[in-house]
Amino acid sequence: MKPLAETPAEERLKQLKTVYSRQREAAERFNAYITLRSLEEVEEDAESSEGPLKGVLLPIKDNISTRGVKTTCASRMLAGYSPPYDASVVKLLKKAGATVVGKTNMDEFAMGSTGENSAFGPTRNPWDVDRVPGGSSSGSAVAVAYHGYVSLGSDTGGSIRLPACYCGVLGLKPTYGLVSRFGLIPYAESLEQIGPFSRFSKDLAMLMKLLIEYDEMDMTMTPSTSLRNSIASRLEAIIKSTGKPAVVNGVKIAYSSKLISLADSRVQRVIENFISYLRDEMHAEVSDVDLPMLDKSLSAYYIIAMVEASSNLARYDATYYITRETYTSYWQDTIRLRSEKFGDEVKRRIIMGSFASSAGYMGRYYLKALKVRRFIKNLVSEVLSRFDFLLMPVSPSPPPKLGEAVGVDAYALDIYTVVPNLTGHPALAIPIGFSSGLPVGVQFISDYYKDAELVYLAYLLEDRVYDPRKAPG
Amino acid sequence: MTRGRPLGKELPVEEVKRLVRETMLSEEEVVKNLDQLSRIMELFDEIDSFEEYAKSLEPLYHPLDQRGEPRVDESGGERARLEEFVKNVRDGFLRTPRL
Repeated sequence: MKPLAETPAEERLKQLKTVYSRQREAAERFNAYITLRSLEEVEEDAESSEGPLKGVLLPIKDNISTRGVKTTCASRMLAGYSPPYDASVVKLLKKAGATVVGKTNMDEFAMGSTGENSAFGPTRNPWDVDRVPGGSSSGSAVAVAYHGYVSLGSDTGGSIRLPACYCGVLGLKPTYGLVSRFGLIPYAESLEQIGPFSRFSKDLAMLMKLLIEYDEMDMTMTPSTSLRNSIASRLEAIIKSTGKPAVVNGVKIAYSSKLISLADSRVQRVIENFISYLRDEMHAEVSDVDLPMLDKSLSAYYIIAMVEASSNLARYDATYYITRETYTSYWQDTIRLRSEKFGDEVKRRIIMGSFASSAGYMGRYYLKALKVRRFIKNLVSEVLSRFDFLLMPVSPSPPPKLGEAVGVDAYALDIYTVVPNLTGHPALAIPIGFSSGLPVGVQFISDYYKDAELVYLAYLLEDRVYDPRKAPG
Repeated sequence: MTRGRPLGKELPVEEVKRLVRETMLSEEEVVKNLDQLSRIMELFDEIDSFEEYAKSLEPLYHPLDQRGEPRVDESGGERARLEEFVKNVRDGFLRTPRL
């Protein structure tokens, strides 16, 4: 196995059947897909495509619109929906020659941390089928971990990094505004970003270089062309790299031992060994810093996310989502529709989001959460003005067993991942080892638009700290 | 369900029922989810622990303090093609391409 970025298109086409058959296995064994296209369709598309991604099979999270291919958000509400257009990121990658292989399983409307809140059944972890793969981009992580190469997910509070960590692959949440969200079915738009999963760092660079193209359809995108060109040239340098320095003298990395101490002892041990490796073997300047209150970010995150969710999901009513034959009255039909078609977690977030933003409670909860958001942003920005990277755990524990972290219990899994979503900083999950046969990862957070530096860090650690070729049997 | 039982510090069940109606869900949802909703309220109430750190700060609505820049209000592409049909009228009826 070698990076797609170093594999010629002809070779990729020759391997296509094998890669596809592994994805079919991922669908059958781990429920990683909601829709898997047929081999014939995929082969036809791959052969007729042109561009740097010719012969690349691309699994896409099922909340990212794909023209003519069902996009359900893992919800009964959208079970039969085929979008009439491609999301901008899909359009970009198809134009570059990628072939959509299918739509991956996820938590309904991206609301979940385990991959269990899907109307199409839970996704399973390929390293241990009795455990969760992490969510909400569960299927996209499994598709890469199980002998795949790259995929797309979305990250609202850790939905790329958590499953990347639990499945032992790379997962990047880009800087807010760097990748277009046009065509992503919204959950909480001030927090979420589309981002890539990959096995090899060079493939992450290859995908990101294409994904950062400016898109006028997303008005929250950062418009600076020079900034994009600069990031693209740094990513290109990673793709073309042939060697890597033995040490990283002068690179400054911050971590908080207090935050790490909140994690399970097995996770702590692997991370402490990794910090020693960075200091002793890589010669990085690693410092313990104080990050007061960061462990309390969950409350601010969930208030903001639920308020935005309740607004976004108000669109699902009897005007569009009910057939004329079954229509009786708008009000009754809407209540019936929403009660029947939304899952429990989605309903809870709609109820509590409406509450936190309603008259009488908005100042008490929502506005306070937005002030806390500024506090957290100031705190993280201050640290990143002194350090190149902030290192944090991804998850406080190894992947839980199926059914072990349900509903509100699963929120605690996001304790470390929500921070970059609140602040908009980029963050990359990198596998750093195993504990009892289960992957353990860390996340590095960098300053805004230093996404390429994060990918370079993964490139430096590849084959030293983690083996990108390692895959579950 | 006990009527008037508070969820977290401040949310009485009657209030949740009102919200359920506003969110266009059935009242049974609150009964089914009462325990989970209470626990979410407890999580929400943890926001008070930031009181001394955040009270003097301005709310941050958008992670990058960006201002929305709307696109220029011009039609183009597919929309422009469709608008061409509007000009194609005969006897008061729009003429569309033959299917």
